[in-house]
Amino acid sequence: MIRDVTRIRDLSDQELTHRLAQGLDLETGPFVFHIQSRESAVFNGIRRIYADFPVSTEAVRDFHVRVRRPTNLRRWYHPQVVFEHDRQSPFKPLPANHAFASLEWGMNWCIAGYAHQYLTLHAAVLERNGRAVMLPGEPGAGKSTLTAALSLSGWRLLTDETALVDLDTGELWPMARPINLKNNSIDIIQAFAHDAVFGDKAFDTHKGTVAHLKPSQETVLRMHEPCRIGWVIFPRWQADSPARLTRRPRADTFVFAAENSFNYSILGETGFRTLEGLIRAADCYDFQYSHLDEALSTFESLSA
Amino acid sequence: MTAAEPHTQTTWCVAPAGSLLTAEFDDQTVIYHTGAGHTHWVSPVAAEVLHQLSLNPQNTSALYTALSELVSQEDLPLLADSLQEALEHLKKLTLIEPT
Amino acid sequence: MNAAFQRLLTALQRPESMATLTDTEWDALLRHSRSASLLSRLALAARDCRGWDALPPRVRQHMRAATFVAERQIRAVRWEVHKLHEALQHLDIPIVLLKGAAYVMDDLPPAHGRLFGDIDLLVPRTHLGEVEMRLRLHGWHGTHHDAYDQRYYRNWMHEIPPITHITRGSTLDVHHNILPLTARLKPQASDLFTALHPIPGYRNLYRLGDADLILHSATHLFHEGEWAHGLRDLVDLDALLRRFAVEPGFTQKLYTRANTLDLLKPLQYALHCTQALLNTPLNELGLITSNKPRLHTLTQQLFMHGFASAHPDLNAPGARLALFALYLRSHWLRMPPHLLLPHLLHKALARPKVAKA
Repeated sequence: MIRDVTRIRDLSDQELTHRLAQGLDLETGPFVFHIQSRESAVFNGIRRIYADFPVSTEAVRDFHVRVRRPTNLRRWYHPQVVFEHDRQSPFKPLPANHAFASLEWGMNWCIAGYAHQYLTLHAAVLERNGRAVMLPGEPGAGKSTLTAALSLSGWRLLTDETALVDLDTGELWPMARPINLKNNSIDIIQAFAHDAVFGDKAFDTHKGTVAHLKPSQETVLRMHEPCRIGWVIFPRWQADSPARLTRRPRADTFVFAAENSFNYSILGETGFRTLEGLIRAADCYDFQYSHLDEALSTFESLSA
Repeated sequence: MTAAEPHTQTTWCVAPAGSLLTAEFDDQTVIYHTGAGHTHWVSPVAAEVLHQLSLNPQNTSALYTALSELVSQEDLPLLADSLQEALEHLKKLTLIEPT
Repeated sequence: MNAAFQRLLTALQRPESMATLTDTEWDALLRHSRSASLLSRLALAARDCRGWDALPPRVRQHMRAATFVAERQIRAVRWEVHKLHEALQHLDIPIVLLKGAAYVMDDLPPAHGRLFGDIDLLVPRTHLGEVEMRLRLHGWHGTHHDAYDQRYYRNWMHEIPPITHITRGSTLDVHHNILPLTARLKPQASDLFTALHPIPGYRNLYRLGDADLILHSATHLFHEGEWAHGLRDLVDLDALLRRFAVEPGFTQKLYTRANTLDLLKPLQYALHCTQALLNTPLNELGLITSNKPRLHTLTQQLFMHGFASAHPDLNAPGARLALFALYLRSHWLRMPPHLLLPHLLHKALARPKVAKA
């Protein structure tokens, strides 16, 4: 159902600037973020990468966030910005041209820190033909590149970072937010899909060079559609490796997922049972690959 | 069978101040203790030890007897060592304690 | 007091009134109560007054999330107490759980919907060394190695520096009195040990007696200067008063203890503030005596600012100055002048410490 909503692209530059100065209410799946900022990097990121996202009309917002200059000398000299959630700054200041990246990280932090109405896992989730694949985040494994490529090859993106599992139904809920890519991932994906839309690069962040990939319109339009789990797959890019899926024991997958959950320990028994349901319903694999197109065909045959 | 007499053996119990949750997947069991707050997968022997102890606290002889009913004849000689290993492992994980 | 602060107080005083809040008011109240560590308390109150289903869906989600956090903390406290009992059970001395841990282990009303930090213990001063040693053997270690900090805690305050468990990361604060040795009020720790209440199921674990529990909570609130969760502490006090004051003769006991322990002033502050902010029915509970709590207007206003400091939106004009005054006050109460000035100077000039892992 496509509702008659205002989307970011419907706002003029002036309107968007004004809203951001007062606080723009942005809907990202189940969350409404009230975002306040006068930073041009934030404006540019929202204008380009969040163009298809709805502007919320709800009065209750989940998170009030702000990206602003500190009130000290760093306001003007080698300018910095600070991310705030409800007037508290959980992070150190960052260079002003990292303002959009800072907003994205801050939004993830809010969800990981507070959204315990879900079981949240550090994983990418994409859906095809009604079943979801979850890619848990082993650091350095090339998960983001694969996620981006899948999202550009017929898979609907639910999230690149934070899986939301419904505590009552076990369904996965989307946020449809931009994919965070870094360093040579950016080049790989730009080469993979020439029409992929990226936000401005932020150089010299603590993760290196970072840029955000705009999610497809379909992904954004379907941001309120949950789906059921199909597979949990641990991808690992390995030079010269042919694409290979090997079954991974469920018990081991469970423990890894628990250790890579943001709030499993907070949820206690509820978290345990929700994760149990998820793992039981999923086919769990390790996946090695070196060529992206081979990886994509493997995934395609899985979902057929 | 262990060398110690039954009355000098340790009696084990599941760690209190929380409850033990289990989920079986294929031939492995995942354990979560709500008090200790961490999650592990354990061997079938360890899983059975936990199951026994959640019924009531028992010493090593009693556990050996209970488990010997469940293993095949050819695995029986290995049981004493497996049991000892399992007890040490579970103790290290703070899932069981001496009473 | 401003409208936002009043709304938070009204929700605490009359939870059924939450049903009348607009979405805009909820957007603010969610944030304010969360800042004040009271969101889970409101969630509990909403359930108790059967107002849960009437809550806006987004509010319900946040309250559900906050409830998970509160429940988790109860589990964590129980486990920590179990572990600390393991370390200390063979000592033949009373180990007294203070504040949050006491509420959880004896299932007292403030335990529910509450968020906890460190676990606080009170032990006889004569056995402090032995307690410290046993805790160290079981994995707790100190994080404040600075010689100044060690002196500050051990010689001047009423505790050893906080100790952290090496694998679990939980922190214990071990006290030998409830006020610093250097404080102007001088309760005798030995008096506290005469009225202890055993914790069911644990050989040498106790909590303070009913009256002492209230007095300690009041003293901690009005002396320690941690105003950011002052309102939460006041909510605890209200719950304790309602629970204990129904017992016949309690008021007499409470005032007698307050006088014995030299803690009459904090008690008066507590009674005044619970009534003023939370509508605690002091008359009904029989807590009004000839010693009717009366506060100087300036003190009242200072405290009000302190309670409102839970969130910037709750601040009335003059808050910044008031909070600074409260900060000075808490140090003044803790230390005589000849120690206070050098201490404040040291804190102002010392380099920031490396954050604990």
